[in-house]
Amino acid sequence: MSNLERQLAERFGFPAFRIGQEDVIRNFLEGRDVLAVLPTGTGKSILYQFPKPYYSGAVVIVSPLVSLMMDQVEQLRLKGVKRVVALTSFQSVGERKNTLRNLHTFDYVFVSPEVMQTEQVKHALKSLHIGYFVFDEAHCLTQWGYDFRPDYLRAAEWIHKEFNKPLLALTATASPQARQDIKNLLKRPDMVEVVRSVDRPTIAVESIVVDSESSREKEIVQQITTLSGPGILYTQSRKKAVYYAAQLRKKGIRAAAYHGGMETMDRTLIQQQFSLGQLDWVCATNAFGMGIHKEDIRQVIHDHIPTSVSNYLQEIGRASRDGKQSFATLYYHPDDVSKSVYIATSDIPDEQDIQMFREMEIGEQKQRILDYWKTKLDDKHLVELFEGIRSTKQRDIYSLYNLLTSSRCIRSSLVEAFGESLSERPEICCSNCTNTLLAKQSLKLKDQSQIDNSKLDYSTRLAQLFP
Amino acid sequence: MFFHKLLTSLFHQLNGERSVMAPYYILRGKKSGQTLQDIHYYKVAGFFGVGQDLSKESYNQYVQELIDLKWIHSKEKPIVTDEGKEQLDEFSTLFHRGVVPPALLSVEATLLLIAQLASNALYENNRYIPVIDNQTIQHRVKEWLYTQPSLSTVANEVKKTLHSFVTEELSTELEKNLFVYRITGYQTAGLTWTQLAEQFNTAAIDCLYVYRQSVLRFYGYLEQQRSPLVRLFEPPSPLTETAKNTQSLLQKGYSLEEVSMVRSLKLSTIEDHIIELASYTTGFNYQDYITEQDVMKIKKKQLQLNTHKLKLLREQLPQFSYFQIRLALALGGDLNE
Repeated sequence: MSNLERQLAERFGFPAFRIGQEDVIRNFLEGRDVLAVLPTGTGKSILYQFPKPYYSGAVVIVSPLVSLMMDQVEQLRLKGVKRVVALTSFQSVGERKNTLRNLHTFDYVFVSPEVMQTEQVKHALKSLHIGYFVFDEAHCLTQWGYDFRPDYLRAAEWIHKEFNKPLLALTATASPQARQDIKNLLKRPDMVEVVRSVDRPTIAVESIVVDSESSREKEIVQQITTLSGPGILYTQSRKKAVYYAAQLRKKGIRAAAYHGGMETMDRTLIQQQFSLGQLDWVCATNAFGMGIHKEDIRQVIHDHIPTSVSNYLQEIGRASRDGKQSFATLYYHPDDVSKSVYIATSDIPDEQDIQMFREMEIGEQKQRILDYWKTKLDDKHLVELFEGIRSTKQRDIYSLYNLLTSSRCIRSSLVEAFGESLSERPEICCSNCTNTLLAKQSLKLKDQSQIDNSKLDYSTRLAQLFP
Repeated sequence: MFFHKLLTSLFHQLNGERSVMAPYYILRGKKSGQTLQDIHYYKVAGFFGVGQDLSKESYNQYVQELIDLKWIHSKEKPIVTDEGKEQLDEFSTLFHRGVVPPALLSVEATLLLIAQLASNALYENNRYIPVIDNQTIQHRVKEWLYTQPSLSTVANEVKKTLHSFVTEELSTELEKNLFVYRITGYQTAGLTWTQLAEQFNTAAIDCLYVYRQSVLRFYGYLEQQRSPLVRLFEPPSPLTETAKNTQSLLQKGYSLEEVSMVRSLKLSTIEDHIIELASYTTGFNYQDYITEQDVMKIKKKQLQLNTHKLKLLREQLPQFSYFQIRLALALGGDLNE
């Protein structure tokens, strides 16, 4: 047992590191900046918690996705870490003032890029004794990724200007080109990359073509009513998510819809119900996933083509945290591609937007992007830049589509998109290598246990809640 | 149909004298001079702020439904039809009582948080994700907990109170189930409105408002039982921050004009604050602005003309300013029944 493993057991109670974690930690402790590319669910909080005692000062974690950040804060608190705080634009002025005044009392300070634009916060961070910085969801720094956040880039630039501290960058998926981009944007081109394979051997990948929307619906409902969950059905639109949930409820499946337009409280409840096993299926848009810590997801179904291989992998990657055999099934129709391209590129400013943007409303995300870039490039270069991004996104979608429709091993194609090559094929590989339709039957529902017959009974529930 | 009837009730009370949007502002709890005045005169104070989260789109949709149902005439003339009146025949809710309710969303959030806390405490678990992420509410609950003897005393008190409330105070199965299934506790997440609506084959909004009525009833129950939980639920002052600022200056002896100058606000804005203070503060010193006899005069005229339209009243009582008339009308409302 290595020294680090012994510490892991003593300090955190885990018997062993998950793949990639030890490499990240060792490199970091040896004084190198590290870019860790580890799939979600690998437990990233260990990565920034572990080195803390070796450095004096607080750990500042910049995270562009507030809900993810708040989830991590909760997780830390759940584990007993008390001196953790988050600075976001959702706090009241009073709260923030108070937090900033007491910033030095915290071990872990989470900051959103938005609040890092304020003088108050900048000043407080400059006066803080900092051990090292963590850049979470580092792919949001790059243009080429699916979730570019201009404010995040500004935050990274400011940190580079004001500080010279060790950096730890984390992301779940990033192609070799995106990784280099991240390192360049953080101005640490020699950052060590620790990349865990994107391959998930226990998730069988299936791609099934349908000839119409109605047959797609039928097959999806059929799959869900005959094979056991828990599972997630990813839809492209909110409307579809709600529709499928209603159809499944009619068949007695414990399902619910989830999407970004729902009330916060309802979203929280659905998440918790799913985590606690009160729901077997969630029909959701890609807004669903953050904050889901569920080990036993057996199926992930898609009724559309996601906008990139990264997104697709991240979404199916939510299955099989417990390492047991799971299935990712994507039902597609040839018309799907153009739809996805449209959705993926609608937020990218075009020539007209660039000319108009100061005078008119052009949409929130486009506005955000242009606000950042207008100060750095002239109009001609802007047009070129965005044309480039647009064609990249289109290419990404076609890549995924081709990969799913070719007769080549899907698993191999997926890992190759990340610069890897597949070392070993699992027994149940993908729909091109294996008879996955047959293999899926292992999930066949043997009884009515997943059918919901419950009736509401307040007195039993009261007794259960308050024993 | 609960919500539809609720809305129709409001239109009925308003007697066609206010625009079609008036019930929206009342439900949202808008603290404007006009609305605060209206809620007392039209005797709809009990509905004030009960639908703080109602969106304009939803509201307009329901209004249209009422028109389609022929319960009200039209948007231009939002008068309740005979059909509508029939629907209101035996319709009586807790919101029909005269008093402005405490901020229900706040009471609701506090209730859910303390119930979650109590449930987890009884299972000896202190690691869970709070179902309410509103920092103000979380803070208030924490502060209150410090004043309590122990977590287990609190947990048992909550258990006892909820149990007796649900069994003795709520009457229908619907009310009981909504109240209990909305609670999130140890390893048990509450149900969403969509889920509850499906279980009861009732519209989600109806479930929501029936539930809110129960929450209001719960608050009243705590007061009536003199429960130790009352302080936790006591609402913060219903006055807006800006009205409170005016109030403290007035208490220091500033005149209205001086307050207006010091705060760099229009005189009419300060007058709005006075109206708010008059509506919410018991024993408000209105004598600085109008005599008791004058208040009586104005109220008499209001009853005589059977209107709350300021223009009409002023025509008949030109010796008073609009401000004085508004003030007299605001004072008429009984905040303490």
